[in-house]
Amino acid sequence: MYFYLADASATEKNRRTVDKIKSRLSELAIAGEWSEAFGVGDVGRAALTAVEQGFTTIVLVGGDSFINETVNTLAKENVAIGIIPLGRTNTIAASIGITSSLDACDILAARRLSSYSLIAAGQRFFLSGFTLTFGDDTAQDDAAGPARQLLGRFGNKLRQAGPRKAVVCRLKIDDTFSLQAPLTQMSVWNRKFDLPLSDNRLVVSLYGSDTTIDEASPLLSTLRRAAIAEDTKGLAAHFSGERLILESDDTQPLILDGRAAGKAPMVVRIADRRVRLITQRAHLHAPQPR
Amino acid sequence: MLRRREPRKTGAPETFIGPGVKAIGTLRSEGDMVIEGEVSGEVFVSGQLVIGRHGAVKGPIHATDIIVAGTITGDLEATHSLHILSTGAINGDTSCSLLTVDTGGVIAGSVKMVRTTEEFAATDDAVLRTEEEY
Repeated sequence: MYFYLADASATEKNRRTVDKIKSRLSELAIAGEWSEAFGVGDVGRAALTAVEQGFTTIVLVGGDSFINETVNTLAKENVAIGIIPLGRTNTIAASIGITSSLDACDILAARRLSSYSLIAAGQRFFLSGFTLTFGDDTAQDDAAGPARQLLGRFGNKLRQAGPRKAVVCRLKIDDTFSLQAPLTQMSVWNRKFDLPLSDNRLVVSLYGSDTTIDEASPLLSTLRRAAIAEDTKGLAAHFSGERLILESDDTQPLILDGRAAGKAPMVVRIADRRVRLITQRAHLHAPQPR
Repeated sequence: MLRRREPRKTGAPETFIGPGVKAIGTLRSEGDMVIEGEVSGEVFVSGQLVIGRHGAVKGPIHATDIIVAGTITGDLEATHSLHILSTGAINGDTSCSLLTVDTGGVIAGSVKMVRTTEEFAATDDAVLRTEEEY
C-alpha cells in the first residue's frame, strides 16, 4: 500500500491540484494513506513513522527541496520512492520523466523501478543534484534567532541579485587532476538522471564571476540576469568524476540549494546509499513491445 | 531564490576547461574536450580535442581528432586528424593520420604521418574523384 507524504506548504497553495491528484489516485486504485508535513524535522518523522507502520512505498508530493529532505531520511530504509511534483521547482521529477502531477499518478500505477545512487555533499545527501553557492550562513542557522535569520536570507538574496564575488577554489577530482579557478557557483548532477543506461557519475559545472551585472541596482541586475541564458553564461569548467574535494582559503560559508552547509573543505561523491525510484524511464532498461 | 543551473547536456563537450581555470594532473574524457584555460599534465581524449585560442597545455596529448588554436608544449598524438589553426603553436613532436596547418600555424618539432595503406588509397581516390568532377 502506498503512503503519500505531501509538503504542506505546497498543498496549501495548490488545493485544486491536490484534489485532482487524489481523485486520479482513487481511479487508479492506488489511493493509500495521505499525510501532510511541514518543516524539516516533521517531514523526517512522518516518513520514518510510515516505514515503521510497514509501508513499502513512500510517495513524496512536493518540489525538489522537499524531496531531497525526505530522501535524506529514507536513504537507509528499504522502500520504493515515488514522486508527484507539486510547487515551483520540480527538476527531479522532470529528470525521471514525470512532467505533471496527473502523469505522475499513472507512472505510480505502472510502477517501473530504477535504482539510483545518492550524491553525498558534506553531511547531506541529494537525489539528483544540487547547486552550491557562497554566502551568509545565518539564513538557516537555527541558533541565530529569527531576526538574524531574516537578515541572512535578505543578504543572500541581495548577493545573488547583484554581481556575486568570485571565491578562488581548488577542486581535486578522483585523485587524478585538480582545478583552480575563481567561482561563484557549482552545479553537481548525477549523470544517470540524464542517461538512464549509464553509471551513476557526477557531472560538474563550475561558473565564474558575472562581471557585466550592474552592482548599483539589485532590481536592474535581476532583470538583466533573467534575460541572459543561464546555461552558458559564466561557465568556467565542465567535467565528470566520482569524487571531488572542494577547498578554499576563503571563509565564506557554502550554501547547498539555499541552505547553509558549513565551510570548505567539502567532499562531494557518489554515495554507497541507493534508492529505488518509480520512474517513467525504466522502459529504457527493458523495452516494451509495441 | 537562485535558479538551479543544470549541467550542460546535448551538444556540449563532456569536458570543458574555461579561461582563467588552471588544471593540473591527468585529464581523461570519453567524449569531446575543449580547453580554453591552462592545463599541466597528460591529456587523453577519446573524441575530439579543441585547444582554444587562449588554451595552453603543457604535457603529452592523446586524442582521436585535435584542433589547435592555442599553444601546446609537449608531444601530441592524434590517431586520426590534426588541424593547426593560424593562432596555434605546437612545441613538441606530433603524429597523426591527416594533417592540416593554416597559414601562421606553428609546429616546432618532428611530424610523423601515420596512415594505413587503405587510408592512403582512400584519400588518393577521393582526390582523383574531386579532380574529375572539375
